[in-house]
Amino acid sequence: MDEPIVAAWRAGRTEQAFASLVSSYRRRVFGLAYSIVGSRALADDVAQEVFVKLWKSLDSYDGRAQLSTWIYAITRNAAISILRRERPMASLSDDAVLAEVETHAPQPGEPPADGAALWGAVATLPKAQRQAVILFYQDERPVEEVAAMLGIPVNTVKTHSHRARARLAEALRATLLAQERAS
Amino acid sequence: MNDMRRTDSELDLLLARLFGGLDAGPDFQRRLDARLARERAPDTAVQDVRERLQTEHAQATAHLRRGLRRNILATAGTAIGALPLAWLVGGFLGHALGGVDARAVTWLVGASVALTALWIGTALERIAPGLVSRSLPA
Repeated sequence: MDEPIVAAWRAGRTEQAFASLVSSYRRRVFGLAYSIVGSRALADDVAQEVFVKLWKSLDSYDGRAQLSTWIYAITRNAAISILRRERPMASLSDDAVLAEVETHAPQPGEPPADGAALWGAVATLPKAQRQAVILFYQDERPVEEVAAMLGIPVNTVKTHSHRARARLAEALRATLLAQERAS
Repeated sequence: MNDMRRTDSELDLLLARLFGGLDAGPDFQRRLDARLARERAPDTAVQDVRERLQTEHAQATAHLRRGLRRNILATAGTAIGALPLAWLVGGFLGHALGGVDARAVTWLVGASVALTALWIGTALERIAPGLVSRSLPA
């Protein structure tokens, strides 16, 4: 998938290659950054840093590792650096995301649920579980890809996802029960 | 059991709604383009300076070569021009002194005149650059 990008870059068609790279990886880089920094604004900054770094260092990519693995490693490092620099005590409570959740009115036929309550439950998850959930549900990615993005074994991702889902399902059941009692 | 399945499917739906829209902001590409333009700008400036230095270096080298060629021509021309005179003076002195090999004196005086001409030519060039060399063909 990445070979045409690398080939185009090495052939000197850098603008075209870089446009393809941004198009292919923007969501993934942003998602990974967001799962680490927990803020859209900071994740945006991280993604900017990552692509600028890629522009400057793509010549040094030697092809030993997959391009995606290389990009994910750069993203993780950039996210951690920005997090340390900008907000040492960053949390996942992001007003922009919360506002977006609130605007998602249940459609006819969809189950009534409190998105904000679920978001609150996600925010209380341990970081590793939260990251696994965010990256899986951003694009319903295979567990293998989530593992590659986080740089951890597949089985670890499965464990994190399983535990996270159990906790979130419990929180959702409690919310639904409270709604039923109220009505 | 049915409740649990229902909760699971609702959970999937809600989580997909929560995180499915996660993407960079609408002005991401514009910001990135601006950043990249800034990153490239210093490279352009360095390239400009490099090209200017290369041009100046080439001009200076060409100027030096031209100057050197003219100086050689000036020296050679002066020396060649002085040889007949030196030959005449040497011959006259050799004849006047008698017993001294006129050819040896000729070469001695010729070399002295040539060196003197070279010294004068160089001194004139230093005092007024181009005074001698400018009059010669390029």
